[in-house]
Amino acid sequence: MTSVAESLTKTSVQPGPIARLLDWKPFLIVICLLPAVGLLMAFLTYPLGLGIWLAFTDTKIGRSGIFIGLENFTSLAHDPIFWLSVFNTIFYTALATVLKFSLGLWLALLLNEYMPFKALIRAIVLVPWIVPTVLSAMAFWWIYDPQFSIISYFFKEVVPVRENNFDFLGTNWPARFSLIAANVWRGIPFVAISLLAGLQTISPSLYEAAMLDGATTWHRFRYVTVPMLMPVLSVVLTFSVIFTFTDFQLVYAITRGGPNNATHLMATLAFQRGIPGGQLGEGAAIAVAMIPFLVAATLISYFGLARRKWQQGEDSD
Amino acid sequence: MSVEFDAGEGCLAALRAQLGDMVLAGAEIPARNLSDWSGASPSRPLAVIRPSDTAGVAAAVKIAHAHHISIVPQGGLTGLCGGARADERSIALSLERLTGIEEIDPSSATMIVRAGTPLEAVQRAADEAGFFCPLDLGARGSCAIGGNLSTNAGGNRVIRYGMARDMVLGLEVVLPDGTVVTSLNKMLKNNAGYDLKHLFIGSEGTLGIITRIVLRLFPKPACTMAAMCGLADYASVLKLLNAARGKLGPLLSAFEVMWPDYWDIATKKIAGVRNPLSSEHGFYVLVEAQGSDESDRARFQGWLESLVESEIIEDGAVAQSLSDIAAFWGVRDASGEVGKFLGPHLSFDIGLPVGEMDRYAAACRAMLQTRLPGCVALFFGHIGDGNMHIVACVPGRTPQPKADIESIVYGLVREFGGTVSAEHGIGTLKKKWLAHARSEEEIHLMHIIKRAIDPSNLLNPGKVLCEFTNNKDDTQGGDAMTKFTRRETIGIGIGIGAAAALSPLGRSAFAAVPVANVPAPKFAIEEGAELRVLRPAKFVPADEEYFNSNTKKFTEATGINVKVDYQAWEDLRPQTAVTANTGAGPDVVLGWTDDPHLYSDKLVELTDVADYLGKKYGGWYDLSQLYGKKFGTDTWIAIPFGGTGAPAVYRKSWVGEAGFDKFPTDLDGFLKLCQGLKKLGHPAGFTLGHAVGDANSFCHWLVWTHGGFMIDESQKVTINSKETIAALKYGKALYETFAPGTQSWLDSNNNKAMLAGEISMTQNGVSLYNAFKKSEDPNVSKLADDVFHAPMPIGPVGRPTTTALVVNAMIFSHTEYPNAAKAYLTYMMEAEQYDTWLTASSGYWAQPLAAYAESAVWTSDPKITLYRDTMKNALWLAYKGPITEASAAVVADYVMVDMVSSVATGAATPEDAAAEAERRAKRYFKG
Repeated sequence: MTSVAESLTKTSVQPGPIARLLDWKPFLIVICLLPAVGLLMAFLTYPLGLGIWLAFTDTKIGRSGIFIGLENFTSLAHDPIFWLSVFNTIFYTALATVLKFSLGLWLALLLNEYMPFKALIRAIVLVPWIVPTVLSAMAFWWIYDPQFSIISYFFKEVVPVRENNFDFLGTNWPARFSLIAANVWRGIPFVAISLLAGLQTISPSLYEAAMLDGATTWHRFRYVTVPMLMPVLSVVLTFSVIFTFTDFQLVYAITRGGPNNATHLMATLAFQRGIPGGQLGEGAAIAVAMIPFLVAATLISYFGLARRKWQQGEDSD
Repeated sequence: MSVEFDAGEGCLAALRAQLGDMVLAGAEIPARNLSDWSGASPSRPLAVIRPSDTAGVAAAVKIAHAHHISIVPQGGLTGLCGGARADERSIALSLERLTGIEEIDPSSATMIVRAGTPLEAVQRAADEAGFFCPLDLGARGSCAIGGNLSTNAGGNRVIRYGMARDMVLGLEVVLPDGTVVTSLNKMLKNNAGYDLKHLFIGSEGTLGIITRIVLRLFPKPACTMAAMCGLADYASVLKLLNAARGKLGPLLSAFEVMWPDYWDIATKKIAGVRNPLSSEHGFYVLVEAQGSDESDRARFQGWLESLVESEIIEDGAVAQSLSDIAAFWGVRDASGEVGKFLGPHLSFDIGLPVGEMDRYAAACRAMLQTRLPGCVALFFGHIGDGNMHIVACVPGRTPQPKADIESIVYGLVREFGGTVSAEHGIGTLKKKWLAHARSEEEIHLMHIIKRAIDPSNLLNPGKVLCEFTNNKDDTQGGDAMTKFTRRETIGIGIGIGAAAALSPLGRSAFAAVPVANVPAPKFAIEEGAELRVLRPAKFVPADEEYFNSNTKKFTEATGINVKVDYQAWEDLRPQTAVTANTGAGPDVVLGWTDDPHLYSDKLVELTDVADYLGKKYGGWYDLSQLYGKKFGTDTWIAIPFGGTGAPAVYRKSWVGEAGFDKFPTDLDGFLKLCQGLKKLGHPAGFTLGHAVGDANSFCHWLVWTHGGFMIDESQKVTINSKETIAALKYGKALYETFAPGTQSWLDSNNNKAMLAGEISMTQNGVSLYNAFKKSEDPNVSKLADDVFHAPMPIGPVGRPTTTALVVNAMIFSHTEYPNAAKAYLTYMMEAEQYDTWLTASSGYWAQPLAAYAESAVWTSDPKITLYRDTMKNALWLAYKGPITEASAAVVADYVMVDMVSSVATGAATPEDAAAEAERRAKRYFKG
């Protein structure tokens, strides 16, 4: 008690050092950044670092491991199921991203036009994105159910063109496409709304000027909309690729990687082996194996699309 | 704090003013006054007062009373229970200067002696006057006669002369307020009102300070005879005791029995101890008699010879000289040296009915050795007086597991109707065990007496009885005591507590369960214990309801708070893993199947709990033993709590339509049935997707029943076998008959499909039948009558090959309260609780213990009777190998499921699939 009181009186009598310290910019920067850096270290850097470290150990659940170098990766390299999951992930990401962007852009353009109840429609479009992933996954799980699928019901009972139920998830390729469809359904709103925001930043005067120059609709899209949209597009694409590549919940809830591992993504395989399987080291190694893909995808979409050359055509360097 | 301090200063000043140099304080206090022989940590009292007469004692007590400072009387400080230890806020009143023999009256054969006189001086004075003071004990040179009386000392000659109490005729006592009560009666007979002296004898200085004593003196024995006898068994010891009482009568002065483990150490390991016998025996007895003339010597000799002839004594040695007698006593008195030889140890002076001594010793030794492997326990004592000494320790353990040893020793004492202290007293060290030897009513009366004589609780507070607050409310002290005793009662004999808390419902529910009469294990429940329990979420609402109500009963019976968390069943394993990895979180986890084996080194050993439950409830099933014990050992690491099985569930009418009145028991019939059902348009459906429960059940059944298995006992991967390939071919044929899409089914699909009538047969727990029964849709609920269960067919392997999803209760070693947790698990598994829960779960859970097969639940609905044998017949997923991280990983990676499903859907040939499964399994079973 007394010592605090003393120090308080001291500061009020001699305000110099602390005030000066607070005026000193480097100190201020450090102080202000400290909470943010601390949070990042605690919640991002540490788990990431730990995950990477685990990938190089033989840690099991319930038993700490020792450093084993690249053994996990060597073992995975000889595991066809791992490569199957890599293929699945890339295929899933590539196809889903292409579909999401084409459909999303199309939707954004539509929404950018004048139409009645514009605000309401824009809000409705966001619904798939807002709904918790697990809920939409459950919905699709029912939609794809071998016995109770509403699509099967529709084509059997309402429009009787089929005799049997669809087997959405029972064989490899239909299962993959079914999951991609679910992912696309979920991902479109994010792309569409982000691009819509981008579209609305484009000044109408540009279109007016182009029209005066006699540009067609296609020309206006190709030479005004696309270049102006590119900065937004690159950011949205980066995020979308990352989200899709690391997707877990849809697959885990609908197929859990089945049938015969045809829909295992790297994330679901990492979980299956790391947590229920107890092989934390191997699970971490699979997760770490995703990092190069993610970095590559991010670099391409971010730096590549951000380049003026790409944005404004070959010759406007 | 400061108020008390001032009171202490004031008191000290007043004492110095009146008593002068009798008062020592601070550094003046000699080391001897800081503690007694109990081993309790020394503490420096406010002051030590050493008065040299009764008036001085009274003055000191009066001053302390006026200043509200507590007083602790001290004598020779040889007590073994901390009764004379004064804490920092008390004044020690040492009687070391109040010494001297005041008078010896030969005509009444009495001696008046001051309380501080050492026992040896009393003995010598009596001897010089031609009398005998029979009180004698090892510490005779140091102990004071006042202390002997305040603890009602026993010693070596109790069998002839009685306890110290029996040698006293009168006392002078200073009461807690300083009043002097002089009652120096010299008459043998005096029935004028209450005999007050007995209040102060044996009350360990909590009621008054003895200052002068009238001792009874006895005629000197003319001769002492002693014999060391070797006997075969305890029955002979009892015969010898009876013969000694009968023939030697009043001559018999000591009857000391030594068990062979004590004898061996005393005669072989202790320097200076001579072994008077040449051969080895089951028991060794030192008989001593004191005669009034030399003719008694011949009588003693003749008596012994007759016993040897009648073969009660196998071998005996009679003392021919005083040095022989000393040598015989040397073996018995070596107990101190034996203790030193063992190193840190605990010693006990318990009392028991004479006839029970050996049974007690056997039970105690067995329990100590099972609970505390390596524990050494030596037994010896004044058996004629019903007094046994035990020296026990676990060599090499520091600190010694005091609480465990005490709870075993004292727990059994209570069971055998003995006392926790035969002669040393209670002091502070045995306070908490008092309720083992005295009833609640007795203890309550002790409190009433204490409060009547010492209302301010200033005289030797906190000794013998638990502290009570000095409140006008008469019942408060009693209540505090009641709580204390109840807690102890439950803590030690959980089974007794359980019986007391029995509900009428509980009684009727478990009436059918056969229970063997096995003593409940005793768990010394930790102070302030509370438990967190994690278990899977309910399958049926009653599961959770009755689990909670049983837990609540436990809390009510023991005062231990238990918090139960329920975790969705798929999330339980990750949660268990986190608990194991971080060493934090729940104390008890009811985890799935493999987990105890994966975390075996992080679990508390439960062999005592399992042994007890197994003996009491008809034994553990093989599967229970497999899950509960460390693989290949008899060490239990988990208590299997229950299992859910997955037999075939089918619609009887459709199976009948397919041409099967009885459900087929062989694979051919089963395939034909499935084909028939398919033709009817009501196909069967068995899960082949990545479904943890259902797919593993079906695929393992399929492969096992054909004789294939993933690994053998030595963890060699054996899946790529012709049996497996046969199983896969059969599986493919079977799959052709299934409802479409089963290869993408997860755990709930088959339930949905069955309820909707899409399939006619699947494999599931009893929940599916219950879902039919309890459906709100009348069209579904009426189908329950058509739903039946049957064992999955048995293939060439010739035994049932279904799995069971078992929950195993584990206690993680990070818990602070392992004993409370053990008590909890034991309690939950006792019929009173377990059977109500089992019954309420209406078949979803099946018991791990054979006796519960008789539970009423299994006859409540004939359709669920099949689930009764879930754990009796089932196999584990790692069959035939041990459960390891690798086997768990193989199951979690769906290696078996993928193999079966890839062949069934035509994605792979049986040969390729078996080879692929082998490759995948070998990734985990390296080397």
